[in-house]
Amino acid sequence: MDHSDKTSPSEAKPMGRRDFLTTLGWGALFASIASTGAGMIRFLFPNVLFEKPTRIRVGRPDDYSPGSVTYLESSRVFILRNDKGFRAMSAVCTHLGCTVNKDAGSNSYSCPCHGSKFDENGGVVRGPAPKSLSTCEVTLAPSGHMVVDLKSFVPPNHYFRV
Amino acid sequence: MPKEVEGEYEVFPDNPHKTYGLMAVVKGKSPVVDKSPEDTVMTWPHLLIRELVASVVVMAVLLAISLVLNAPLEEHANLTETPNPAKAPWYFLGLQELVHYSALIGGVIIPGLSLFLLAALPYLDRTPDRAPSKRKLLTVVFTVFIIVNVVLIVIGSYFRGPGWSFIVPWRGGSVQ
Amino acid sequence: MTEIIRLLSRFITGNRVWKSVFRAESPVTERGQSESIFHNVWLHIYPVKVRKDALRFTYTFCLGGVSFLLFLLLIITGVPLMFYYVPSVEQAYGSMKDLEFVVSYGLLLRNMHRWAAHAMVITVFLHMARVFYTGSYKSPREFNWVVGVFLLALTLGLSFTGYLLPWDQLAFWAITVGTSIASYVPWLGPSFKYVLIGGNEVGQGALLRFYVLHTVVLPLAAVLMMAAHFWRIRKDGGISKPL
Ligand code: HEM
Ligand code: FES
Repeated sequence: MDHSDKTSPSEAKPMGRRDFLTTLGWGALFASIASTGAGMIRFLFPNVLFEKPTRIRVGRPDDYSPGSVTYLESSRVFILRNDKGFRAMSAVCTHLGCTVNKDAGSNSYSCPCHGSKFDENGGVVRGPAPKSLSTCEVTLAPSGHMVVDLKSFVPPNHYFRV
Repeated sequence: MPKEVEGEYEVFPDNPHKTYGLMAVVKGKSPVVDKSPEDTVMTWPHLLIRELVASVVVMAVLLAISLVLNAPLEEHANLTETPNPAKAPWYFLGLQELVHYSALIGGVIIPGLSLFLLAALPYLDRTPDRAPSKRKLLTVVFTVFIIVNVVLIVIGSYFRGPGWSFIVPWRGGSVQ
Repeated sequence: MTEIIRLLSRFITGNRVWKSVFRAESPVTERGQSESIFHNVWLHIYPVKVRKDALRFTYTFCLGGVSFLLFLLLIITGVPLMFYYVPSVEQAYGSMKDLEFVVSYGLLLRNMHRWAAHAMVITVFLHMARVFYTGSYKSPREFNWVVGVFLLALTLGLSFTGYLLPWDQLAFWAITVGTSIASYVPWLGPSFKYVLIGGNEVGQGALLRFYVLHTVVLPLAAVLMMAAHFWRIRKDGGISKPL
């Protein structure tokens, strides 16, 4: 038999069996509550999304005339072609995600939500937007179609050449 | 028993912990013999009737408004086209006005700090007296807070046009 | 005439069924009036007696009570809307149109729900201002003010989540902008936005999440906070005395 409960107080024991088990019990309770909570929070982060594909085919290079700015509405991206090559410039405002519009009669862009303005390269001219419009990566598929990856960004001075 | 004095006096001193409940039913006209603390009235009918009247008035007004004014419903949501200007409901237009200056400062720091200070107010305010004249600084700060809120909402609602540019509504600007 | 009314009320209240439901004596005596409060589960949150000066309209302007009434009206008008509303990006907008043009009284219910929501934001805000200017947040009511600030935040949260549900242009862009603000919160921001809208952009995930928040989570939280708010009013000795 275990007589530990009856030992004299001078034999300073760090913790009795009863206290130890009580602490263990409470500890286990809080640990399980905490891990359940953590699991609940993790549950809320979806692993699979049914969103539109982020890699889109945008046609052949010849479809775009030099110096043109083409807006691909469903993907919210501008395809710019100039003498340096192609650029896919996102139309998603870097402020809070509204869709920017190309200004009529000039190559600048403006956002209808809080008035950010961007120059022809997507640089911020004024307004609350913190950074210039992002440039998406363009690659060429074996079929000869250009592919824009809306989630992969390259520096704005990066042009795609055929 | 308290000593008999002229005029009114409190039998039960004011005590914030004082609540009423039924402890026992005894024969008699009043819970206190001789003098009762009658600054109170029965909840039914006095309070409940008033609440009923107020409720009926509010419901009638709400019904009347809803019969003449229709809640807005615009076109189907469209990711490719942002309406210009795109406005939040009026009570968030103050926030949108702040966000127009900066998303982090106007959208996160200022509203977050305001809400925190608002919640902490009773613990920050150490003035003992309730009357606004006895806590002038705080009254001024709070009043400014309310005025700034209202002004920002008014600006956001009436003085902002396409591209969130400043417009003057009475000069033919578009008002939402 | 009075005789008929007396007989009729005797007939309604004098039988065993009535007496088994309402155990109170009829509220003509003070005892009956007390009993009708504390023998009634819905009313027993009230004290049996209230201070006379607490009834003064120009002290509270009924603003807290009206906020609560509007909240009840929002539930009463919101639940029927749920019978027709489908929280899917294909059908949500259509169900709003149905409510407006096809469902009997659908337009009226939707209008009432919308305007009551707007009114509640105003009354809660004014109620807070009243409590401030009368200094009613001072001891022992400090904590009830804090509960109140939570209620204010919940009221705004309910408005915000409800705003997305019609799935029209107004809704979509207000929520796109509003949830992007969340992503500016340092460090946690982007993950917070991701769970809030259940994805990277406002779509089906966001609509369903906002629907659940708007119809279950936030109303439940508001009800619980209101229970705490009202209970505290009594425990703090009723509402504060007029200045
Ligand atoms: C959903 C929102 C709310 C509801 C339904 C509500 C309801 C009420 C009611 C019915 C009262 C009784 C007195 C009166 O009608 O004025 C009251 C008192 C009070 N409320 Fe609220 N309230 C809400 C929000 C708030 C907010 C936002 C604050 C402050 C930030 C607040 C702080 C208080 C305090 C401190 C009292 C006690 C006042 C006194 O003793 O004079 N409440 N509330
Ligand atoms: S979202 Fe473009 S300026 Fe705010």
